[in-house]
Amino acid sequence: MTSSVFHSIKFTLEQAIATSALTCVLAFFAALGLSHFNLKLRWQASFNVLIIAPNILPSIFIIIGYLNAFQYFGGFPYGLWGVVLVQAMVNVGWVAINFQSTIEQKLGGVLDLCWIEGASRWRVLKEVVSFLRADIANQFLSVFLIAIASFSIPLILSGGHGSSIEVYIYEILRVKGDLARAALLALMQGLVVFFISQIIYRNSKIIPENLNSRHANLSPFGFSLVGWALLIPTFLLIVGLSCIRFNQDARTDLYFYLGDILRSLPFTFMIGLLSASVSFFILSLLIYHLPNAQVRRHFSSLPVTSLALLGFVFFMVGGHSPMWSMIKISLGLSLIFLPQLMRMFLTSELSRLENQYLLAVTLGASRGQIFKFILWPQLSKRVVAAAQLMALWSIGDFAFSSIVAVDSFHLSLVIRDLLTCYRLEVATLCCWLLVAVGIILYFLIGRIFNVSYK
Amino acid sequence: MESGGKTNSIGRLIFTLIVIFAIFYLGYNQFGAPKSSKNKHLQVLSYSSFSSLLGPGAEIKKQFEKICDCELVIIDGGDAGILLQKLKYLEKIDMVIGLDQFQIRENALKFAWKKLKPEDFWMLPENFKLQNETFAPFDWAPLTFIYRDKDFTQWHSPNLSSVFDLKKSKFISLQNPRSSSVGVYFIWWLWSQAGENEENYRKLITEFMPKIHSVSSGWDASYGLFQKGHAQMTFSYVTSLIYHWVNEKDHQYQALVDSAGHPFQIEYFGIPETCENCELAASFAKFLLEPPIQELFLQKNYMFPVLADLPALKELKLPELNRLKNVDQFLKNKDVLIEIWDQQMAKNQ
Repeated sequence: MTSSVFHSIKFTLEQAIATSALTCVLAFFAALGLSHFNLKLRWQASFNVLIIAPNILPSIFIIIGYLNAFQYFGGFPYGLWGVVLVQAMVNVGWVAINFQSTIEQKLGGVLDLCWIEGASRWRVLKEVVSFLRADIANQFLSVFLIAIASFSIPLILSGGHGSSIEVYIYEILRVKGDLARAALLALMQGLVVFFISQIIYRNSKIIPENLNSRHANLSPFGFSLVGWALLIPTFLLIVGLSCIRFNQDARTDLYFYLGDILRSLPFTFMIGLLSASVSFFILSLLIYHLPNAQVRRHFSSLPVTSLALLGFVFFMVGGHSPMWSMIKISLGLSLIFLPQLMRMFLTSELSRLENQYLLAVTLGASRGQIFKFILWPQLSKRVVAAAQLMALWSIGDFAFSSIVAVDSFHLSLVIRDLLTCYRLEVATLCCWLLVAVGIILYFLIGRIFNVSYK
Repeated sequence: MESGGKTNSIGRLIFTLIVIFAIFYLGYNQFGAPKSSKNKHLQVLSYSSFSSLLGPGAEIKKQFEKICDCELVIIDGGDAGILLQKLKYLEKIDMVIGLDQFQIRENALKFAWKKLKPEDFWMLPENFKLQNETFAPFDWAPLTFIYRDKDFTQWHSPNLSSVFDLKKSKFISLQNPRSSSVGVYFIWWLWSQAGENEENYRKLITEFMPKIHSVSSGWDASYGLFQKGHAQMTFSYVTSLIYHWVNEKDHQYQALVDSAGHPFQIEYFGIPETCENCELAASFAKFLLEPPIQELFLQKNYMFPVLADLPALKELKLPELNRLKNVDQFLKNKDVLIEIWDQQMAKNQ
């Protein structure tokens, strides 16, 4: 083990901890604001897709977008805090949505009681935080693991200090083709993450269930403006990417590339849909099988698998036609992000429902009945949300796809090709197309995956 | 969270997904799947900027298929650095295009390759000869700093010392040597500038560090940051100027010339021993060195062709750079030098 590996572990941990802390703090307050909106459900969905939109874009466009936007504020703060800021802006949306749903589902009665008893705003806030310790720990861990696996953002925005372990794994695979050594490094990273997760879970209590599932009244908090602030990251990104000129040369290039771009759209759409389907069904299965707290904790502690390593493994198996590659990319990305989706959307919810589950078991309900009548009705929206996020992540990926595919058949790979041929303007235009596909998928998945198992 | 609304049954969801997938599959088979009436297929593995529509691959395919009565299938291997690793798991590859001198010296000889006939490559100039009788060069480019005139108005004929002397900070975008081969070429350049001395090399990195704007995982990201003006200088191919001068007609882009020499990337092709259409691959190899095809490398790959006397090349008037000769010594020390680079970067964090 070289000293630079230790330095990179140190930097990776520092930026991951700072990113998770900042994201959770911002998202928590933003969630109070979101709940206060009391938006109509249709508008809520549109608002949600807007605030998680930065997740769709490949990293280089997130970076260029924010760098452009920050020029209006006197320049970008490179270094650790620049990395933390950008990663927090990308992740704050979905963490806030998760917090919002948790607060609404768990704290309705408690908050009403606090207001009636005349508790001060900050006293209530303190109680809310202590009630949601496990959820906050969960979201912290989710962002932490995303930040640890993050490759491009720390590397570029830290000014070169941010070689993560993933960079070393890629180097070993690229130069030496040594799968065993890469797997060892991935395992080492995985073990660190696993132990950190275990510690976090051990120190966070299971949240008591709230059988009166009424929505929390957050009006007295007066945080509505903070909710709107969630649009800032997307707004900055739109401003930043709009700065990119689209001149006559770019139009000619676009015309030349149009066939490839159009051909890539159905594949992009299918990758999103397949990844969403895989994660939807596996998460459903996990809900069916994982009411046991111990097993659940271990599963939720699973780290995100190394993208480069799994990419090589998936490249080695099966065929290489676009159809095969599409299936492999969808399946691979779903497997990589599944523990993450579990942590983000289900771990604390399953803990919350544990008492209901135990009561049902005591009364003689079968596992199927518990799933159909207790767990699924309360968790289905979260599983759908997980599938939506999975679709957005998968269509924006080009790191994993570049390793697995041998043809630029989906839009992210076309964008990579354009970048390698100096065509940044056309690539940026394709990013808007990617966002459009993401939004269509988001609503489509929200519509067709909204199922009951009855 | 997504809206509640009307719920479907699970059966309907599965049915909907099957219908969507079936429509897609039928559509792909009908309109999207490649169809060929040709009996012979030549399968070539290359990196993505070669195989993309804007790269030279598409035009080369068109030209070669006119004369070969075969189908040329160009397989996109992604990053040039992982071509060899992909070759291990791909079947029926008749040729690999895009190996550089590092890969040839470090890894390529672990694979079995067909010997090339030297008489087929008589046209290669003296400084670009066959390597190990198995790899033939097809294009090349020196690497240096690319910048815009308007950002460095005080410069007249800058060299590397001019960069060190600049009072500016955070203006160069680089590539990580662990994830990008271009990053490795920069390490080579720096080490040569340090007189191949480890202590000087450390000092040079420390002096250089304040000037680094960013270190990207790949060349495309670092060049994108430069193109958008976030970095005022980047480490790239001198031939990047071709894109700006010819395609964009923008002559403010310039290349830094250092008389001490520059690292040259030379790209080679080779025919694996396991090829299925080896004869066809051999004729394709000769085809790649024909003047019209060599010009395509200049126009679409933005690299110099190995044939030096092409008219298009003379019109360009790109700066002439000296070549570093110490590639073998560098490769012996490469791992240590990259490790030192990382250590110095971490120290100054």
